[in-house]
Formats: sequence, structure tokens, C-alpha cells
Amino acid sequence: MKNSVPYLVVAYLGTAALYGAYLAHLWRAERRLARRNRGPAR
Amino acid sequence: MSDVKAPTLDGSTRPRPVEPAVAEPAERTRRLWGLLALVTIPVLLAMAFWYAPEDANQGAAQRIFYIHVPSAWIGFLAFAVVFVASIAFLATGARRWDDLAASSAEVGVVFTSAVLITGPLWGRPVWGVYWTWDPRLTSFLMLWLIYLSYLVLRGYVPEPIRRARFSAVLGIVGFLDVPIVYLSARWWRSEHPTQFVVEGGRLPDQMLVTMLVGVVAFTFLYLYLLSVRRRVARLRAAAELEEVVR
Repeated sequence: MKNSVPYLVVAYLGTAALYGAYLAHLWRAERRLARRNRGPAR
Repeated sequence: MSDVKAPTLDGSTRPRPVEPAVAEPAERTRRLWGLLALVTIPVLLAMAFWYAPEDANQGAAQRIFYIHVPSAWIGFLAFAVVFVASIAFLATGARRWDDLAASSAEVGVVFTSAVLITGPLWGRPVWGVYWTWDPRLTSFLMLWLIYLSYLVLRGYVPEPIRRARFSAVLGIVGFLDVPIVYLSARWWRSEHPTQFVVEGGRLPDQMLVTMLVGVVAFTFLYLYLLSVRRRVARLRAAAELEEVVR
């Protein structure tokens, strides 16, 4: 079996990037809408 | 709080208070989910890399399963929530159910996307190919496409009542693919590993415990993402109401 460590690293980093990017997208939308509604972001 | 004739998904015109249609989860609860995810995910990583033993046949690639399987299970959970919330919406017409279904579908697509990223990265070193049209892989890809189309549908139907009804039907029908995905490896010849946990004894305890920690950690992550997504939906609804009132 070929060395699978690079695949392991890419899988974990890719998953972290996906979840992190989605969370950042939600936080941005939350801040933008809270500002638009003139309410504090809770 | 003033009463106005606010638009409602059930089409009623009776006065309703100007307030968010979705009951916001308590801030403390949302923070608790975030904190629990923040604590359990590093524990999962530590266990996946240092506690769980290396698989003799698959080598390092087997450790991908500690994020692959929990992501799949939480994706199923998210789509089950869509299923239940869609039925509740069709039964009651209450907007909160539509918002819950839409939020859970979006989070579910993120989790199942992770499955589609990590699966091929396991398949390449173990099977020798990134992808094969195996029954389990094909039915899972179809599941992902169904819920992706659910999100696309919501983006293309501007009228709220029709959008909610169409997507509720798709949310219910689409869920029928979940048991097909689960049982596909038993119904048809599949290369995909099965009986990972249910027929205990085949998986060493350390691997099993690590997998279950992954499920717990990703459950907290799902609950946190869902609560933030629902708050975004609530803020968006409030902004739309404000524009109508003006």
C-alpha cells in the first residue's frame, strides 16, 4: 500500500476548512443582518 | 410592540405582532453548543491520532474514518430533522418549521460535503481509485444532490408560501434516499465497509470509542451551526418584515 499520510492530512485539513468556511460565512451573515436591523449581535 | 398586518406563510391576514417568526434559541444554549464543540473536537483529534491504533491493513488512511463516519451520521440526522420539520410545516403552516427545515438542510449539505471530500481521500490509497460507482457511493451522491437541489429550489422560488411548500415536499421525498443509502451496501454488492460498529467485536475498543467521540463532537458542532443558521434566518425574517412594514 502506498503512503497514505498525505491523503489523511488533506482529508482532515479539507474538512476543517469546509466547516470553518461555513461557520465564518454564518458569522458574517449574522453580523451583517444584525447591523442592518440596528440591533446588537447576540 | 405594535400590531400590523404582517405577511404570514399560512396566508392569514389577521393582525400579528411584529416579531421574529422563529423563536430564537437561548443565547446561553447556543454558546453551550459552541463551547462543547470547541472542547470535544480537539479531544477527537487527539484520540484519532494518538489513542486509536493504526489499522494493520489500511494504514494511516483508516484514521479518516473518525471524521468521515461521524460526518455521514450527522448528515443523516440533519436530513431527518428536515423530514420532520417539513411534515410539521405542511401540517401547521408555521414558518418556524420551514426555517428549521431550511437551516438543517443547509447544515446537512455541509456535513455530507465533508463525507464526499473525505471518502475519495480514503478510497485512493485503500482501493486505488478516488471514486467508483458503488451502490453506497452512488446513492450517497444522489442524497447530496437532492438536498443541494433543495437549497437551489429555495433560492429560485421568491414567493414564501410556494417556496416553503415545494421545499417541504422535496424535504420529505428526499429523505427516502437515507434508508436506501444505509441499506445499499446490504441490498447490492458493495465494496464500501459495513458493520463498522453494529456487529461489535470487529472493531477494536479504542477505534470504537474514538468513533463515538467523533459522533458526539460533530453532534455538538451540528447543534451549534444549526442554532447560528437559525438566528441568521430569524434576523433575515425580521429584516424582511421591517421592509414590509415600512
